[in-house]
Amino acid sequence: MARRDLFTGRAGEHAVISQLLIREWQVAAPEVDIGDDLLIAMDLARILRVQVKTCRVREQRNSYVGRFRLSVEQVARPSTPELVFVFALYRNGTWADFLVIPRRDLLDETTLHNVGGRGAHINLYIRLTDTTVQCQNRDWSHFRNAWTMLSGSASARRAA
Amino acid sequence: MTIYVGTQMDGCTFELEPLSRQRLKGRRSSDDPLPRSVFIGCDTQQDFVNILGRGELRSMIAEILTGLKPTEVDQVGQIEFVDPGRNFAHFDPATTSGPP
Repeated sequence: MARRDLFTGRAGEHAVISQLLIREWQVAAPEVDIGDDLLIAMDLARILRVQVKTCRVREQRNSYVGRFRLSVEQVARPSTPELVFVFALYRNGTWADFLVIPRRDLLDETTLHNVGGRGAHINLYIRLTDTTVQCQNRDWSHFRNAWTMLSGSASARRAA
Repeated sequence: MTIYVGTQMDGCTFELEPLSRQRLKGRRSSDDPLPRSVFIGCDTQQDFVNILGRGELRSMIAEILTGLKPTEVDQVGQIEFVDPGRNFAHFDPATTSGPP
């Protein structure tokens, strides 16, 4: 991995930690990275694993684009506590957007709606404007800065 | 029908694969929400093998995740337990690392 990507990744993790702390989540970062970037807890009854993915966006004419790559296995494998992905997008010198997506919702997107392609890896191509978030023709606006997702899945939120 | 299994050092988490969950919708008479996952805890590797290798436990897990009665579960056909962490191979507790 390129030096710049390593620094972007670590900076993104700290940006996510900041977002979590301001929402009163306790945050712990494992000393050795063997899969989980962060463990977070609201209390003993609410503990989650968090995987942070970062990228520097690419500007387009009326939008900007973030690309991410993750393994199918990581998205498909259930776990207790549950895993949440946070996609952090760096733009114009700041962390412009965070997409907060519970693993189960991302699995539904890839399996039921063919987002990310087929194969051992999921390749996400996310296009954003000030008001929209799209991933391969799927509306992902509800994942944007959706820190309330940490209290329940997207489908549960929509049902509510 | 496929059930995904995630193994960890204190047990296993079971979850219906999304397409299987979608197929189920037409088979269920009730609209009651279903659990998204079931966790079975085990203390030792031997317990892990003995408990999770039992056919009746797998039937119970399938009933909980699908909301179907035992006779209805039999009608949906074979239920596969698959471990995404092992390249989506058939889940076999005898060859899977569980508790120490």
